[in-house]
Amino acid sequence: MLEAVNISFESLNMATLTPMLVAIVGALAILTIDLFKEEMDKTLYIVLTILFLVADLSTVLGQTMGERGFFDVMLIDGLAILAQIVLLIGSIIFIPLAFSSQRFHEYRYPEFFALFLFMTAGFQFMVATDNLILIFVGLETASLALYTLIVLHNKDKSFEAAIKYFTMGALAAGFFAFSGMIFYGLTGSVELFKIFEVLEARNFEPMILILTASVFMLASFGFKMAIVPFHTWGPDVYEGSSAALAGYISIVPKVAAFVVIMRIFEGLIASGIVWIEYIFYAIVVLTMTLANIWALVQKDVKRMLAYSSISHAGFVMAAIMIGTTQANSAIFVYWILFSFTNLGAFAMLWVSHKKDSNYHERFDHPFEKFSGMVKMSPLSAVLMGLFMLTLAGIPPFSIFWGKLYLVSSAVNAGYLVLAVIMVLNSAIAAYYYAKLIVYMFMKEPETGVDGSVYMMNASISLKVMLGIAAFFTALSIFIVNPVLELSDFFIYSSGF
Amino acid sequence: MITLEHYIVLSTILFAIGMYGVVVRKNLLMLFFSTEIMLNAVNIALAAISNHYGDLTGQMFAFFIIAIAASEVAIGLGLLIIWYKRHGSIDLETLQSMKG
Amino acid sequence: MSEETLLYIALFSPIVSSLFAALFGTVPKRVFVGVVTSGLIGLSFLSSLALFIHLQSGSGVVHVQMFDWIMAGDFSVPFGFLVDEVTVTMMLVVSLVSTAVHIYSIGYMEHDKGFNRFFSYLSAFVFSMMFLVMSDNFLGLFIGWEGVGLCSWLLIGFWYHKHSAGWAANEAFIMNRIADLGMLLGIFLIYWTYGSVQYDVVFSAVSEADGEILTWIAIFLFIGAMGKSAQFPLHTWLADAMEGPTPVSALIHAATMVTAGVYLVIRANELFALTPEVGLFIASLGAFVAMFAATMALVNRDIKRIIAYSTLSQLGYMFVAAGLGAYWIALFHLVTHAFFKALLFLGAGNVMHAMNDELNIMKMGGMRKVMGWTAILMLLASLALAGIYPFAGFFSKDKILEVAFDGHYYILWATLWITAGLTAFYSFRVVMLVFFGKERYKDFGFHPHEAHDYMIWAMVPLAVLAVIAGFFEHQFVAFVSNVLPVYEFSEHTHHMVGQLILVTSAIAITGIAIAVFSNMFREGVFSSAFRNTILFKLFDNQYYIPKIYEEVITKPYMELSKVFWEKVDMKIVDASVDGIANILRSTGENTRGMQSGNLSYMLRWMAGGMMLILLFAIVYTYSDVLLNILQGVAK
Repeated sequence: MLEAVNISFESLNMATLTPMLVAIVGALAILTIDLFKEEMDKTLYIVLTILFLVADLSTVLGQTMGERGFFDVMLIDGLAILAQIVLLIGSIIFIPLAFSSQRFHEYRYPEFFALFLFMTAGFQFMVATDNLILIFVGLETASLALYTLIVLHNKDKSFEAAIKYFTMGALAAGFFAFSGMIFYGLTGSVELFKIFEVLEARNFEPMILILTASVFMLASFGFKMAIVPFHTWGPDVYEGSSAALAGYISIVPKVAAFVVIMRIFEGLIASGIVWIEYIFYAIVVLTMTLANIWALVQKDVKRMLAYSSISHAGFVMAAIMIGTTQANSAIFVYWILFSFTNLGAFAMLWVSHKKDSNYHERFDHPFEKFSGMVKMSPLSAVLMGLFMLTLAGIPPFSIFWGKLYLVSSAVNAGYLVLAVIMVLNSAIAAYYYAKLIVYMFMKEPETGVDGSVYMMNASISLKVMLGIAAFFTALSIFIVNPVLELSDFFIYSSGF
Repeated sequence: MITLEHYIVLSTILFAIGMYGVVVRKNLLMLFFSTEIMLNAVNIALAAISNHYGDLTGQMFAFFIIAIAASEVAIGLGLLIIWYKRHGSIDLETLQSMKG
Repeated sequence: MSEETLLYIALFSPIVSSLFAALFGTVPKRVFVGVVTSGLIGLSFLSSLALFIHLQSGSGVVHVQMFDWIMAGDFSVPFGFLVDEVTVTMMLVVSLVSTAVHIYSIGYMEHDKGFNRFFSYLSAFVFSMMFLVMSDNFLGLFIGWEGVGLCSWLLIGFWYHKHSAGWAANEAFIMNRIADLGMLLGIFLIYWTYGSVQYDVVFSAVSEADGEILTWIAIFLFIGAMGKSAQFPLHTWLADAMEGPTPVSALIHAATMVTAGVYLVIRANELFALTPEVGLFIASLGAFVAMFAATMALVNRDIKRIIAYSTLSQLGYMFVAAGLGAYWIALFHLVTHAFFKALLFLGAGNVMHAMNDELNIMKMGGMRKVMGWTAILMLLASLALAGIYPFAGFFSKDKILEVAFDGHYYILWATLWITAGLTAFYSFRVVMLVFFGKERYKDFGFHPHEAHDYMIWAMVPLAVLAVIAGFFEHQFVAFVSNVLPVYEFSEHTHHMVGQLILVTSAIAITGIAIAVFSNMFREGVFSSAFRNTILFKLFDNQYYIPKIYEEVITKPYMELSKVFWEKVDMKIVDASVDGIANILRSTGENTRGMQSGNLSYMLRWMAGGMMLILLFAIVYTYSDVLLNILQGVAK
């Protein structure tokens, strides 16, 4: 006879779940509103989405560290809180880009915003647990929602991008499941801390299985992070989705994936398994360098930015290999700074988006589009220039500080060669960012182009978002320290 | 006597078949089949291991994988149908407008 | 209102003013822009005044930490501001002169197309200068230092369509950069030695450092000061900077920015006090520059350049005092000089305006009849500059001579003494040639007119201060003695003071008398015989230094650059850079095929990449096992 399951409500510790519940309730609310009254203006949905995300963020801020809940599936440690903060800030700053002045297909559907909230909840689940099942569920919830969001852009290229992303994602899901199965088979648990306990007790034998499981896991999340050689979806998806969504994809999913990689691999690297460090070394260097080289030869700004974010992802992965607290907290500073800069850069593309552009048979934002921009729309050109300089890591703008901390943590941890490679890559990167600046400031405008196109899609809110991005980018020198302290606090207290 | 090893070997073989399919098939539908095979291969192993340990976690994992696989199919088929409507083909060769 | 609020108002209202004016940067002239900016700068002055009263009442130094301003790793700079007696003196001078200049500029720039832009730059300058004097650390000072340099560049080149203005702006900027490099090295050295760039930390530990390092720090800081205060051999930019609008010359190149070097030496007095040999060098250089500049001023015909050279000369005086350890006297002369020199420049501005931007004093004369007020104001300023009792310049300049005498540096004293005579002579030469004598301007078809009333009124406070500031000497000493060491005169000098004053006044009056009388007998002051002497030519051509720079530095540099460009850069550097770029580019072009856009290939990359990594890991981990197997096979 099975005994009746008896669970007290307190033991569930629902506080650990509240943030995700807020997002899910928000999504359901949006769907319900649509049931009762169709064809509402998108403004309502955008504002609702932002409100729910802000509420979500405030519950995250109210969480206490070191808690477990919901059958001990949820894990709220410093890393979880910090990652959720970054995820939510990223979501909050990207969703207002929906306030475009031109009408776009996707924003007519309330489902877009509901999916957006579901996706956010999915990412939050991913980072706030150390249970492989929940990580998987969160990952797939978020990814499936994301594929749909890309498709909603309703262009031929969006479908192609979504199908590619989806198929590769399905393969990655298979890898994840296989890897999880091996870990479970080895240790009888799907909880990371128990897995490591058992593995350590057994002195990491049999090595070949651990090795297989780790590599499958790496492939699965390497795909999410877009690191070479699992990056191939990246440029196509960026090109196929709207600039607003592409900017989002360049930050938030990667942060979530990054946190999971951190949880899984920091333990493995720290345990002294050498080969895994070598693999990371190779992957980091390859990702940074190859992506930079490919970015050099791009003809479209958005595609160039796609490769550049792949290269940035390589940079970020270096932190996992370095593995010191300094590197880990540096990386979150990097994420935060990077998200504001990328917000700016993609928002600049977004405001210049023209529905039926005929610049190029394929691209929406070829470099030629920005020729002589300074003569027609000097302010936009200066803003774009600012974001490009920042992405290139020119001091004193935001990303410079992230790079500085990361490189210095590499040096402190004794990875001198890696530090040199990072700096060299920054130099290569500066070259293609400068290319756009050269186009904007030194070339003559193409005939028949007037300045209005650069602000084609701009609305007041978009301009405000641009202002915010520019503000944080230019004055990051003043926010770097508080952000670093915050990140240090959370990372340190969760023991990474 | 069928032991745990047999199940795991079966699962691995099935997984390899699925992965092979993903790599060589040029038809979108076949690709989706292949990924399903991969996931279900894992399910077999999970159920077997779960039984071996006398622990329900593995079966729970398997159930979640089934649920996720189902939602994946829903999304995947949706994409496939749109693509077919627009291009009249689900061959991967038609999906090549973006490159470089 | 709390002192902290006052401090922030004093500091930030100029930047608000600048941003406000910048809003209208591209639109045509709006008078209210000038009015509002003047008001905001005036507000800054009032706050400084309130802070001054606060300090005067003995309520202590105001020190605020705005926030921690971090750099890399352990290098932390708390970002703060400090208002002590020295700072508040500087703040008062800066904000007062700026207010006067802002109001004056409304009239001066009234027909200029860049009216609004001008005010934006001018206010930005005030902000940078305030930042410079109020910072509580060397790094903040350096930021302000660069800020004033930048604004000075913008303002000298304000009429950028004039080739000479652009050239002068760049010259000033480049010369200052050279000096700033020295200063930056000094700051690095300070950080390296003391582990901090905060004034209080550094100065409280100043004697702990090794003597040699201290000397190097002092030298590097002084190199920075030399650039900003245009000391020989970096002095040429100051005269050329007169290409800028005259209010700019009054504010930046007379009253405030160029004294920043003196301020630096005063601020770092604890450091310079420990390096007397550097101090003596500063003093000697100062005395040399004082005389050197005065001789150039003697014969020049350009009214603004004459005043610029006199500024240079007076800066020399200040450095003599600062170098000899009489810091409060240097500061005192800085203050009085700011008043009468700004006044002199603004007066010159009136004259120029009246003469349609004509600068040659030989084409003027007898202008007191049309511009009486300007004549009176300039006369007052010249008297103060010449150091005639009871004008402000008398008190401060005399003190400097006393210091030189007291330290038994008789050569310095004699140099300064002669310079005092020269100063009196050239300042009255200008006054005589411009305002008295034959009305030569009529021959050239000018129709001078007096400036607007409010422009005159803006000058009046400066004039009043130029006259009376000297009498506050004792209060001033008492006030700044909290921060600066009081210079004690020896008994011997004390007895001699009366004679010294008499001797100095005598030469000054003689100088004036020569200027006045020679002008009565002969238009143009100098005889044609003197004009043909080598000495005159030397003075007139500024000792050929600009020419020497041109020949010795600029031209060879051009040649060298050309050689490097053609031979080294194009053939070696450029080729290799291009080579690297090409390699990178062709790698990119050749490997971008990986991104074929074919989903099948993408999946292969993914699965294949994963297998490859797996293979690598297995081979690596089991290399010994595999080797054994291979060896077994081989056997």
